[in-house]
Amino acid sequence: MSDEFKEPLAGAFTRVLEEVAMIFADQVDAAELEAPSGSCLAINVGFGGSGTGNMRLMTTADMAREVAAGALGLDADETSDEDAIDALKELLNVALGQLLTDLAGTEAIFDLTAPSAEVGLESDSWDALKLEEGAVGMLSDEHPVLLSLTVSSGPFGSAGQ
Amino acid sequence: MTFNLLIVDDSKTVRAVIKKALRMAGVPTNEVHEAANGQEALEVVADHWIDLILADINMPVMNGIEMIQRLFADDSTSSIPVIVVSSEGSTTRIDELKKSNVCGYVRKPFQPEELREALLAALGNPDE
Repeated sequence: MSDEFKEPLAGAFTRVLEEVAMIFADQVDAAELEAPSGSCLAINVGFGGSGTGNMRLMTTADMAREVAAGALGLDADETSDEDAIDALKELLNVALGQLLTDLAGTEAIFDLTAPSAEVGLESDSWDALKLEEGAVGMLSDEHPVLLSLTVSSGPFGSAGQ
Repeated sequence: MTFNLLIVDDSKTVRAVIKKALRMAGVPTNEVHEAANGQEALEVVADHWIDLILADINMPVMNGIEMIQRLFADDSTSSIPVIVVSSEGSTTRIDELKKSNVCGYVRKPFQPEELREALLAALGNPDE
């Protein structure tokens, strides 16, 4: 992973978060984002085709519920755990689609994998991700979000080689 | 005039958002069916009259591309128009799909009006 992806990653994510869920977030230093007090969850989406890699998001269950509520036009307490995870998966799927176009243009063809979720993660998982090179930290109200993009190959400039 | 639509997306959230967008955009619908992947969609199409399909591309079990190819290869379903609603950003792939029964493309995230415009372009404006 490279710092070269940090700005486009943060830009695509905040844009999609606003459009999908009408939620605003600010970029912060990932290394300074403390692990949430409870457990957190992670979503992963891989991609193949013109390039290969993976995008990972880690946040709290409360943030996932806010995303679901924003997307569905409900209050957060009206959403289920299933809604929250499904909405977060879709958010990452759309953000990755936007990011890949931002990085590689519209001629490249990518195949995204079905998003997968990990729940009940503890602070060690959070601390490991936030210290990765190129990790992006976001803060939406009090909800922390960590993002990373791992590229194995692809038309993404020197950082992706 | 009202239409029978089929929404194909593995995300329950997206299916709900599309249904809401259809209502907000004032699209005149009769039955709105849902399927979570291409295989389920083919089963719905076999059992119901469908005027138009709104389909994602990246789905488990059977993705949208295979579903579109199967619909297009079958004389009984080849005329059903499909609008791709996807995070897909490749114009190369979309252009390729438009050689089959794909008549429109709405990129996620979308506004209700974008969906309405694509639907009316595919089905004709019932108000006219």
